[in-house]
Amino acid sequence: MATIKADEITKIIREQIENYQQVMAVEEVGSVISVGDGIARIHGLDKVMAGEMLSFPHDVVGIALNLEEDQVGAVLLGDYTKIEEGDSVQRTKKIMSVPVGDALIGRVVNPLGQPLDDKGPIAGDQRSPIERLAPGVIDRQPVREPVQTGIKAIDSMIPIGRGQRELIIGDRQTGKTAIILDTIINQRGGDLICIYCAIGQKRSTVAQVIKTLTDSGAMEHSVVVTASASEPATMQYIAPFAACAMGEFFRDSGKHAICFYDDLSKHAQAYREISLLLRRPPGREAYPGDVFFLHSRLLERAAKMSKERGGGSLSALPVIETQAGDVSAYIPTNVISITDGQIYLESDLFNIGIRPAINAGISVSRVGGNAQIKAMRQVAGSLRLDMAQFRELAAFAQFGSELDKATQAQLGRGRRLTELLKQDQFQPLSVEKQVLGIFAGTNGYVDDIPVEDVRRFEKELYSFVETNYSGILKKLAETKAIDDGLRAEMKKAIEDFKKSFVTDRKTVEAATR
Amino acid sequence: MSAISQRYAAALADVAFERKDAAKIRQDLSDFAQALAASSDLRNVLANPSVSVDAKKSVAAKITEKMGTHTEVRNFVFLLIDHGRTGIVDEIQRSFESEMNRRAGIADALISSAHELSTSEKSQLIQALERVTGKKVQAQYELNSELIGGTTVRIGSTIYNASVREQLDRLRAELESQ
Repeated sequence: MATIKADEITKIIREQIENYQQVMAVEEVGSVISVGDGIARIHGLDKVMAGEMLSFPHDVVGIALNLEEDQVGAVLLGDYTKIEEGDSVQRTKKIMSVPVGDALIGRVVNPLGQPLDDKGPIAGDQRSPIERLAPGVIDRQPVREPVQTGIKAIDSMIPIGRGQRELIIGDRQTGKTAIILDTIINQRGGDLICIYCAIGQKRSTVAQVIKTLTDSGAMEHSVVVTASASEPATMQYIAPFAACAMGEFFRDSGKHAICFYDDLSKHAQAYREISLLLRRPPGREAYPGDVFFLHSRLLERAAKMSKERGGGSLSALPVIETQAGDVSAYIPTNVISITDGQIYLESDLFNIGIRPAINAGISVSRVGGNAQIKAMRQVAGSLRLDMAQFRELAAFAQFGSELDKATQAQLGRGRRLTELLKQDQFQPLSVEKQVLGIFAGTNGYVDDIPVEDVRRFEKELYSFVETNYSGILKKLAETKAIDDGLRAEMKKAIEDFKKSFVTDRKTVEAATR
Repeated sequence: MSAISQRYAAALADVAFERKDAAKIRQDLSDFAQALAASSDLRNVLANPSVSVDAKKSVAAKITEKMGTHTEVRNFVFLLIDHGRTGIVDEIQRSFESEMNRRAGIADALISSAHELSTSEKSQLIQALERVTGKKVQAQYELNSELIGGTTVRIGSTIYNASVREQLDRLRAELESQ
């Protein structure tokens, strides 16, 4: 650093003072009546707007939430312990906003958009208000492009489209965040920007997530917004809105983004805390009456924009944690009814080794089917049917031992398909491979393979096709549909592979015998 | 000022404008509030729950008669006794004053300056304030040596700050931010 001489400093200061413009400051102020629990009540501030930022002493910022006849209720962001009764509060005439733009990609920020990583300040000065109206009906179009999660069970049976809102719901420890991480990792090299918003989570968990993303090279297309459990409820309350504002920038500039809100049950709890402290009347489960609106206005901002608006999209994958599988609690039912479908994760399935623990029977995606690529639609149609029949029969099969041939065949198919849909964490699959695997399953090529060998079969099939029939995968990626020629080719490839696989197995058996 | 006192004040202001006797009502209410503030006996009687409402009213009736209070103000005092709100007469009176000012288009200004302002300075300042606010300005003056120089004017929750202290603070903030 070049040293600067004392007289130079004096010169700079003198210039500053000489050029100093005398302006009269017009401020609108109020005074703090009471403060506590992150809430301040303020007298004065007659013209303050709802949601306006207020400036308190000691650089504390607040948001005016309650405008009452004789006082204003505000929530405080930051360290409010130094604020006292009688302190003066100034209006800023600005609505709460966060920095947005490409500079955020690869960064970890707090809900105010301040960096939490050690990569310096966020470049660019573009800002966007955290609360904005959702795009209107005319500005939208139906979803048409898929979000490829890289998870077989989701991409085949519960497809998600760009601009869709799909809820991930399940008990603790059922792999909700794992699905999110897989989805983010699968976007490597793609055009989908991922915004992961952690609300009320342990800092250690968030650090783990960031490490996973960094190690797998997925931070290059991701933004992490975090308000951890130790931060005030206010921070947790604005976190998803801040993340959404960052995503909206990409949506409105014609790009594609996806927001993961992990999780909205904690967000609802933070909002409940604020509401009760502001003395808003409690309703069911002590949540305030507008908790539904809180989540609907957040998730409504996910949209697929029309061509005239640039055709960008913002998808939303909110997470809800249920207590002992109770999906009829207040917040789960709310968010289920707002979203365009849900992915149910069950701890029972998780414990018997079906991972991802998706209950395919009650998981739905109401709009994603249009966005699925044609090839996947072609193979997954019969997959859904087979799985539905399997579930129906499996319940009966537990009683009777005497089953006819057809039933046994269906049960066998179901077991093998279930096996085929299992997938390890951090192993997202390309859609072409998924199509190939499911094609083999639904066309009966795994029916004569022992259930415990199905996963090995699948894995080896992929590498076999990759080395010997790479044309198939290339063609699938190009045409995104299966015509008669390709179908024959796929059949031939699988049959070819089966010859070597079966002998393989025999040799394995021979070796172990 | 609480919402309750503002409601009573607004109601009384309505009546005052209807009867076109605003000045007298204003004076009488202020007199009564002063009497109440001055006499702890009166306050005790009105606040004491063991004294019946009728007894309180007859005491209030005698006092208001002696003071020659306007009927509407007397009725207002009775109403406050009925509602058990005699404890906030003082607050209601202040709310009433500001409500009447608001309706008459008068703004209360608190002018602080580092040094005593001359008469011509005061009238200039008030003229300027009346131009800015579009209201008649009723000024109160105070001295505040912390300002170092210049003045600050507070009208409602707006502060017009043209003091040397403010300029220095801003200069410091600008220099610090560089």
